[in-house]
Amino acid sequence: MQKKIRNTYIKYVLLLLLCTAIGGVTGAVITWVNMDGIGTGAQGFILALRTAMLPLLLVLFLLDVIIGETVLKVNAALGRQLENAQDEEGDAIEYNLELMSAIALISGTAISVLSLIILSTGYSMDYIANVSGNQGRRLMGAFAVFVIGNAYHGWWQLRYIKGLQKLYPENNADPTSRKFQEQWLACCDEAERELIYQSSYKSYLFTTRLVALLTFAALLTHLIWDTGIAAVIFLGIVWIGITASYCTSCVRIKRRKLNT
Amino acid sequence: MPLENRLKEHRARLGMNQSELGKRSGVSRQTISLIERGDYSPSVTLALKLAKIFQVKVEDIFTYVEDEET
Repeated sequence: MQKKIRNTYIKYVLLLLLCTAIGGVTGAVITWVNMDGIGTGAQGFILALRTAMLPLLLVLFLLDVIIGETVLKVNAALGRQLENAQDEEGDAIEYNLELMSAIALISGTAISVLSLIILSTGYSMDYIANVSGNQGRRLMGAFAVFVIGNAYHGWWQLRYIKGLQKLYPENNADPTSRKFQEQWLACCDEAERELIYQSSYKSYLFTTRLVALLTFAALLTHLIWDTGIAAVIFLGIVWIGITASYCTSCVRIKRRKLNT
Repeated sequence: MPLENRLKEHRARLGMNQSELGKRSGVSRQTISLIERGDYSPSVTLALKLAKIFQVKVEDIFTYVEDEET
């Protein structure tokens, strides 16, 4: 046991040395590579995105509508099949429903995030105050498409949830309620909850690693291109929030068990 | 999973499909399917509910199988 503990510390020191080496190599690469050139290229790309903001947001909105309506149609067809399905057929249909759900949620989130990134290229007081004429009208048009796109996506989510509740009437969570996720969980049975808990834990592990990486990436971009510390601060807050949320939840659950 | 079950047998004996059994035991059809396939071990409460529905003991439905390594 003592040997195992000692080996753990040795492994940790070796990992630290490896990270130091990676940091050194990264620093050397940054010094040798023309980072100013990359920065100028990135700036050019952002300006190109800003110019093409309206058509890009329109394309993303159309894509969202196409994917969203397709998923609703497929779900409705699967739902009709599920009514008459025998036991093993039901498993396959419910798997496909879960797959459709994943496709819809991932694509919807990706489209929302891409739209936000594209919008942010022109979302500056300095630019908005000085833009005029055709450029100004295109910017207003882009904002309108963004708002309509988000409104459609929210409306789509309501229809999607109502569709699922038609298949599973025991689930009566209110999609417009602040506590929708808690209500949804309360309507799930024990196996469904275990699936949610397992997926949530995987998600927690993935997010803590991703946030740590992104925080350091934000620090690096600030070092090289002076991008500002806002990204570092916000990611740091998310990092603390995720860890604190998980730990306080564990403590609350244990305390509840002590008090009963 | 260290739990073997004869849920499908008992269900067939009563002429029930998975949906009906799920409704009577308060879980989804999918959960009944997971239990029958051995992909999910039910809670004690659910196991007792199922035993009551089939009018048998829990041990008549579920059998604990020792791991070969232990």
